[in-house]
Amino acid sequence: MSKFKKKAEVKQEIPTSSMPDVVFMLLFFFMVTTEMRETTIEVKQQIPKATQLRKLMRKGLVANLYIGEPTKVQQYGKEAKIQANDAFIDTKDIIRWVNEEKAKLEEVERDQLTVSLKVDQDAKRGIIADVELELRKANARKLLYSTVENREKND
Amino acid sequence: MFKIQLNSSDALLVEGEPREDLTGLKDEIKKFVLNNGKDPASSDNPEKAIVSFKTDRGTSHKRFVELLDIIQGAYYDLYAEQAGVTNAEFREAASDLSIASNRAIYEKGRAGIPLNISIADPTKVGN
Repeated sequence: MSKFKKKAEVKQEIPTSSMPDVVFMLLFFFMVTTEMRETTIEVKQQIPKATQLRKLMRKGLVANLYIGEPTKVQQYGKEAKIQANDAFIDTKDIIRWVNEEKAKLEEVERDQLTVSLKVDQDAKRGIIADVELELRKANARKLLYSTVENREKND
Repeated sequence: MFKIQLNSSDALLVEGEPREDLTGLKDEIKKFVLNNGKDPASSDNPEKAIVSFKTDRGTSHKRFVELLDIIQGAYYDLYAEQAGVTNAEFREAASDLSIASNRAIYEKGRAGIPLNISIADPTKVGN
């Protein structure tokens, strides 16, 4: 029996007691600094003014289509284009887009999908009529033209 | 049928007559809808009255909205009058029909006067 104990075992693990603190700190940091990505509208949007407006109550049922001349004329040309979410789409893609938007809604609310057309005031009726025809084919029957309230002329 | 047409250079035809001044158009539409057979050339009754709005592919959206605003305004005026509220109050009520009192105003206003605006497919002159 020796009088001396053997050398105490040297701990080799890294102390982990502060790990949760670090993890939470990082988590909160990203939670605070993250921003929701918003749609960048890449078409001209000077919305026409009107007086006889009605407010929109159930915004969750609304899908936006932006129509107008592209803001980057060099890249996309001067022809009016349709933008849905973040990309330009062709008129023939509208049916697919409507179905995608419908799929995002609850099943009972799918037929209540309202398409809001945000159209630049210089856009022509031709392209809008094409869009409307496709929406009709896609069975999206609720449609509205988004406008800005004209307060000066209110009667 | 009350015909309103816009051509590709945004010029306006009302009942076949060219028109530049928009004042008074709203009252004409209201008179047309509420004619009830008095004038044989006008509508028989509000339920049969149709405001036909035809545009060209070259018509600008701004002009389209301007005219549509007048036509809708005429109808909202009629509804508001029938429901005994102001135009703004009627539109406010119509914005949220889930509230019973709003629904009552809305239905009272619209009774017998359907919103018969026919927006025809555009003609193909301009692009």
